[in-house]
Amino acid sequence: MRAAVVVFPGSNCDHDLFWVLNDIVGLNTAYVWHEDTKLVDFDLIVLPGGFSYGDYLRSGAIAARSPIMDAVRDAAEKGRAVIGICNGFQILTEAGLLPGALLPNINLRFISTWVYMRVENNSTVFTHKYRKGEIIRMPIAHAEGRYYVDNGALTELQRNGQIVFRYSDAEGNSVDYCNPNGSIDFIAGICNRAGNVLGLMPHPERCCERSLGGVDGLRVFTSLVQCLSS
Amino acid sequence: MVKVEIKVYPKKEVLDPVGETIKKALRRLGVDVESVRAGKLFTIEMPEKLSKEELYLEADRMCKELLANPLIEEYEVILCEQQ
Repeated sequence: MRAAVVVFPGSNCDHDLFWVLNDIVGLNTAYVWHEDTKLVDFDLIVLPGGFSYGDYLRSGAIAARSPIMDAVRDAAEKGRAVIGICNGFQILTEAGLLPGALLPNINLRFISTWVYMRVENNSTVFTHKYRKGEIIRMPIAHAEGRYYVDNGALTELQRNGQIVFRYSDAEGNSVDYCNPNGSIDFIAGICNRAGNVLGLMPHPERCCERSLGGVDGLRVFTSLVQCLSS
Repeated sequence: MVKVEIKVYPKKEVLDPVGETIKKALRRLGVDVESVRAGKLFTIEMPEKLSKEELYLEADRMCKELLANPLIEEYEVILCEQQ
């Protein structure tokens, strides 16, 4: 089982992800440069967080047009698991691999904090080790995380179970003060219709070890390992 | 060369906190402002050999493929008179 961490100029969570994938959950992991054009024999492709191209134009916009993205699109169409975290999520929406867009936070500030989320869909390859409705805690660190889709597309997401994580309080209630960035319908993470492409603003890779303040992110990766190996 | 200006700004139905913040600041200065939308302006130089029609087509393609995100933004193309 092999995992690829795609590196764009300005990625800064690539080493964290490599550590989690390679050293913690034991996937054979490689870095792939954004100018490469092939992703052969990878079961999992990860687009890491960071500030690709300095967030110029719109966050993720320029990275979404880089040479490697055709290969990412191809892999997604073939059913390979693709996960975009933070800037990776922004890149996936800009590339059209996930619906919607990520706009500047409603308070126009960079927010670095821990949030609670409710697991809404635990039947994906990324979340099957969580319980449906489970409340988990992960860090966020972004300036452009306000998820937006038009009403028609939102209804589609709801109907198809594509909303994977929603911001909530520690008891699982979605109340306004728990929505850090003003995302529509408290959305923190979504998947595509087929369920093999996930994007989320919170950072599961930053909470996989007790020494980092929490382990709620680890099961995203152990879920994947179990699915990919079976 | 010929100059093309492209304006990109958030759609009306998309909340624009930058515009809202600027509006409040302008009101604080005593200006009677009704609304502000904050956008971007791109000034692009293109080869003179292109016809007006080709310039519009190329500008439209640039907007659709990179400069604007049609889900959240509108754009406007202005061909500037040749110097």
